[in-house]
Amino acid sequence: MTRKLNAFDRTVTLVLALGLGAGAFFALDWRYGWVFTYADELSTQPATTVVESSWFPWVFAVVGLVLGLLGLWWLLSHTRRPHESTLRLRGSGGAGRLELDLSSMADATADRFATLTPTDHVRGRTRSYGSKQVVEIKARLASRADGPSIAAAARTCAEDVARALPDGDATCRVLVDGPSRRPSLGRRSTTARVH
Amino acid sequence: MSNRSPATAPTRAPIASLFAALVAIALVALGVVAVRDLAVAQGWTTGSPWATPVVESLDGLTAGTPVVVAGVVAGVLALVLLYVALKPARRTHAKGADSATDLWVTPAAVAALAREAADRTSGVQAAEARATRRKVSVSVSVDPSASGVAEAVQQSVSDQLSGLATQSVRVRTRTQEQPS
Repeated sequence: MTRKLNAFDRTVTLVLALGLGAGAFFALDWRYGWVFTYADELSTQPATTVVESSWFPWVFAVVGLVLGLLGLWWLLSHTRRPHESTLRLRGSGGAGRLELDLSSMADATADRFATLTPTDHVRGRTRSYGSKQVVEIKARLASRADGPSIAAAARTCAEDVARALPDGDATCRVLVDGPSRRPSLGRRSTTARVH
Repeated sequence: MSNRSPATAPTRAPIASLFAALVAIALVALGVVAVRDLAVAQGWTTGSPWATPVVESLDGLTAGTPVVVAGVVAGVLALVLLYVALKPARRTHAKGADSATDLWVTPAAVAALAREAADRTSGVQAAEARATRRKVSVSVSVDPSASGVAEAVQQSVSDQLSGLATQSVRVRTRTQEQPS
């Protein structure tokens, strides 16, 4: 999710909250007469005339279709992850273009991380945080994992990425999640106790 | 390296996004209703339009109890949405101890590592651990004949989390009852 989409979501929510708040105020003010004076009875006659006119279904359909398509676009934009699969390197120029397949680099870094420390379900992907490109490694703890080896593996991967991209075009981020709640068959372990 | 890492901490999608998705679905539903009403009005399909009765049902409405109830419900919903719009996204991971590495660990992972380390400490019968983004609480059942277990567990957990977590570790011991 991009920052812009996040800001848009919050703005729409805020506007709806203010709209509902205003509606609540007018509904209660109508009943108790705190501020304004209103008619005793609501008349929707002008609106009914409009709704019953021959052109209204067309206008309603066009407006509804546009809003529906906007809603669909808005809904789908929540499923998209901001990322760049390739990265234009700084050596690019008139003589040629240098591009790095960042997704492959993320996969390779994830594989490397998995060999360095006991973790499960290691995945590598690329993400954009604003203008920054990040190779993000996501892993679950495996049994017998230990903190120092995870920290060392993360350091190694970060150094690998920094060595591959010395200009800092992308950085490495490692996210470690807890172990899977469902123990996989055949990999269950117990601590041996000697009394 | 750390100064080039993104400043944003990993977070869950904000709750406003969930609400936004509901509004988006409502917009799509409105589009469907609008096209259906057009189809009915043009005789392309049978049925009666849905928009007209909604407008007509409001005609003659007075400021009675239903309006008050609707106003109160709308007011409460407005407050909820205001909270939703302003609530920051929940952080999912805590920053690792090594400031030079962009490493983030969930409290569940820290708790699992702490529990594992405590469980392997000599004199410990059983161990449980809970972690937040600020502290790790380890609770161990100890053998009554063992001594200095709390210190050993503290050391073991600290070693296990070194370089990985910055949370403070608190160890609580309880003596395991011996079967008579």
